[in-house]
Amino acid sequence: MLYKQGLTIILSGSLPNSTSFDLAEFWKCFIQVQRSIPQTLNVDNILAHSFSVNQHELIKLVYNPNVFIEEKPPSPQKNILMAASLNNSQDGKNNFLKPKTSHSDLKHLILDITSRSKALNLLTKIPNEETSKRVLILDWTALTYRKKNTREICVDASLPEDYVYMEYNKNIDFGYYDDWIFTSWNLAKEFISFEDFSTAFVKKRCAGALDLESIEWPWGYNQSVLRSLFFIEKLTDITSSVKKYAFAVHRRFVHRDFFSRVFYKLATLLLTILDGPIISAETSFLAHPQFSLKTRKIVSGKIDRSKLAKAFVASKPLIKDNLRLLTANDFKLTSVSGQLIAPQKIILIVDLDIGQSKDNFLKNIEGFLLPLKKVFIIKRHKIFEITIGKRGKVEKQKILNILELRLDKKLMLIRDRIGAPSNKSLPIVFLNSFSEQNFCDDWSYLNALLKFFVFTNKRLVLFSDSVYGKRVKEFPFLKSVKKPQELSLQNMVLSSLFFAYMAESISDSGKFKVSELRPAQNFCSISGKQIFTGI
Amino acid sequence: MTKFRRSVSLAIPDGVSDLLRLEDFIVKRKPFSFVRFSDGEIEILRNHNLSIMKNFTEYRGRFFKNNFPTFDQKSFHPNSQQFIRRDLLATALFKNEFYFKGVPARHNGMLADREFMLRLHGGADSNITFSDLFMNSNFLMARERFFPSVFSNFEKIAVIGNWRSELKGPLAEALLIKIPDNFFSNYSEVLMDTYFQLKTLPEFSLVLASASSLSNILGYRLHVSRPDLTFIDVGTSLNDLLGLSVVSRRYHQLRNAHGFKEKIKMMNFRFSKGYKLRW
Repeated sequence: MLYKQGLTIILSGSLPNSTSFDLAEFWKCFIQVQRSIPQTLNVDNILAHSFSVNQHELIKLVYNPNVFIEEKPPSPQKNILMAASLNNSQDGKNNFLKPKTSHSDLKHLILDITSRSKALNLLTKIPNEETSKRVLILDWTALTYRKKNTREICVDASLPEDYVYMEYNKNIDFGYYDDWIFTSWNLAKEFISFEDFSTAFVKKRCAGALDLESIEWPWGYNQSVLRSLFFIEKLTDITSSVKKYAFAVHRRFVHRDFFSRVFYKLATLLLTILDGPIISAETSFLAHPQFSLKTRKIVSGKIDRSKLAKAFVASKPLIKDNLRLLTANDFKLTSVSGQLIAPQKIILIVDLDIGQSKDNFLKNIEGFLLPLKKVFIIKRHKIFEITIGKRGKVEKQKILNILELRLDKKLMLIRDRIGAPSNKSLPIVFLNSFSEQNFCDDWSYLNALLKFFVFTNKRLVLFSDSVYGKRVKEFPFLKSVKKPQELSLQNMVLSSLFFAYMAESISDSGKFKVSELRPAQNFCSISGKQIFTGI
Repeated sequence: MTKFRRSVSLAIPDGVSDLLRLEDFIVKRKPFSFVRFSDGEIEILRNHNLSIMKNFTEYRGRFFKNNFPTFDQKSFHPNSQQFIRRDLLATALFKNEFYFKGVPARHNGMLADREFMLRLHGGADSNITFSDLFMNSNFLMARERFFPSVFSNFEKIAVIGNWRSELKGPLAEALLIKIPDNFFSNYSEVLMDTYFQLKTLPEFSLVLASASSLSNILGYRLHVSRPDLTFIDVGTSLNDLLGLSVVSRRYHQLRNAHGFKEKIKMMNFRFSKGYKLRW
């Protein structure tokens, strides 16, 4: 194995206000970030900046940054906003491929860039420990920026350190994606001046004084109308869906029989067409030497983040020379990919099956990646109250004998043993169907779900495919259930308040009602996603 | 829409002219390094499981039969052999005026991999050429023109090859640095041992490497530490001079097709899709 390197995560940008807007993108990004960071990188520091007010609590809960600055957004300079209108008028005939830059777009663009520079400035304020060599720069909603094409971050510990890694934009002649940047500590500091560059760029553009020749913009080719169609957002969605199916065919038909080979070849052909490289002076050579490159004034048209990022990189030789563009499909993730950020502390209650042994469970408890404040194991007429130490080892074990096998008695005993009021704010994870070897199939998702549960003061989330509800936009795979129903004990997350209610109301047959919840406290279910092996 | 059009002519890699370019360096005694990234290296870079074992190959999740000789066997497992991948990535990302990289191209049916390599290289430039520079349609020219020129311009030659190698012909007097079968299993040891032997070579020596991914890693390290050396990753193109299997690849038969049947086979090969180097 490689030695562990340190990683500093830098987060910035504006967050949607949770009262007016849902935070779905924020949560999706959090899940994706956790999945993408390999275990060979040690997250040493999280530095954050936001122009959103009143989101301090959320950021603290979710990312728990070492340094976090939250401030009111400054009012944008008048001439920057003017640039938007001028920019649009310069375009003349705006065709359907070139949408206009609105004032609001430009304002958000500049604010996001300013926020990133402010967050990067925090790098200069903390000591650069020898171990923390790598930096991952992200926006709060980085991976869902272009909503329809959620991408992964390419964070690979084996990549050499002294380079800048950014996502490859297939339409590279029109800009670079800078939603995420993976680089070294020293090169990350080079991006601090992105704010100054962008404001100067927009101002110059506004004054019509932008000297195109002074920017070493890589020459691209003149796209055919047919090829341009591939970059219309709606068509991109269709092509990505087709690609998904083509990849599935690839995975399915790996055998050597005639039909497998035919299907495999057809899928390959389809992928070759859809994934065909864009011929650009920047990444590819041209197919025919006689074919000359026809270039367009790329800085014209809508000012967007990718154009600014490309112009900025072109102006910084140190970044440009060390820039490498990657796609999420370039490298296959190993089985040890993914790690939790600020894992949520929980109280765990497990109801063991007859076939499951308590000792086996405790032997594997180190594999439970979330910090456990307390663990209660129900095994027939015994309840084991277990305190887990800092290193995930069993510190204390207490056996609570109960004479009656009644479930409500057992649960009430646990309710009384949960103890300190601080414990009562922790989510309770109740499991009665799981694998001791694996516990959870998607820790990143579970960690995010628990944080979402705490932040939104939810009472009950069931992991069940048989409870029907309405899809909630705020969080992936979450459904809100309004209809009161009688439920049986199953894998779920509960608040201590609801646990107390459940303990009191549960019947001998192990059923409890959720009708007592007020309408505002609809319970939720997670369906369409397997989280605990064994369901 | 305001347009700003300009015509720019770009050269694309051409098998013959690239080979002549390297030959020119040899004649002018300008040291350079040439490393090749073929399908095996791409698989490692992409972090895929790779197994080339006796009679079977695991490649991109599929299994194939093979008839490769024992010295071609290797296996890479992402979870335990990241050291190799890390070094190979450093090689793939490195750029220098006299450091040339051969990458797969259209004739290999690996267009996506060509683009992948170009992105790792930081965009296309004149240091990028074909990984098959000494093979397929270039094989005869390489063997009849390029390598004779190489051999005549260097007195001190070192060859990195499989332990079974027995140097012959123009390489009979060269220094052989042996590497074991499937060196991936004791990579660090083999790398250090080979590297230190090469580091102490006399000035302006020539290194010919036929050592799979180790060639790439050594080529990069030597280029940084010993820029006076000329390093050429020859792949399997000199197998006969290394005393290894004379016809382990199809293109080997271009020089060994004697019978009528073999000549017909070669004719067929010349008309096949993968024969002519195409960018």
